[in-house]
Amino acid sequence: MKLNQLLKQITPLPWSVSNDTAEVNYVQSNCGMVVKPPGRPADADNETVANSIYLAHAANQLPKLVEALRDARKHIAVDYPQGKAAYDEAGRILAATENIDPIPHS
Amino acid sequence: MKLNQLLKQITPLPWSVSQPARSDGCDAAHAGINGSLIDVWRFGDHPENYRHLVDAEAAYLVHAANQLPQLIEALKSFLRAPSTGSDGPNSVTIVVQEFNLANARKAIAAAESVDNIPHSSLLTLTLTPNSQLPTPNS
Repeated sequence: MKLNQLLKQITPLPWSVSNDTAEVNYVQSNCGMVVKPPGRPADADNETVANSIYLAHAANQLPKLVEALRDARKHIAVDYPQGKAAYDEAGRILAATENIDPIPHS
Repeated sequence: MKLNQLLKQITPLPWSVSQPARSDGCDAAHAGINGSLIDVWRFGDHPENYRHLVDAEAAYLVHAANQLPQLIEALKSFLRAPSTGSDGPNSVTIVVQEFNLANARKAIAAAESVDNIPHSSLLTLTLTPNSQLPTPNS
């Protein structure tokens, strides 16, 4: 699946992280999305908190980074070895970022 | 908080969607990430209608998490390499970076700075859309 297709399917960005329980009720009533450790939400450990913050951050930043990388790639001087290497590497990473593995449905 | 600090605190990448979305008879559909270390939930009536959205959002979250460090590194490599063009209007400089790569610098700065949240009285973390949600079948 293409990244652009996926972005059209998901809740529009940006997303934010909240620890406000009132917010949870609001989100629940509006079919929002909750990220939490399974089972025992009151015992969220530091790693889970960090994971959630990182997930939201990565989700929000990904489209901006892709755009910046595409833009930067237009301006690289490929006749310099260092420029060619950066150009090629950026092309590889862009291709990997713009193609997403589908999730098999149960 | 700096991204590098955060990366040391999280479960090591890469992550994967370990569990496709399902509804278990409650008012939610949910998918698991990385062995269900984190669950992605979506609440509402008829959760079966939301399974495809949960799948899409879990896939996007995992993909973004895995790709972010590589994208930042790729952008940084551009800043170290010569670029073409000029240093803005009326400039004839051939090998400059500041003008053409301003977007890259801005994107790197934004990606490497993470909003922090207080850890006290944490019950549940929510990813909250601040704009309208897509309809279940969109």
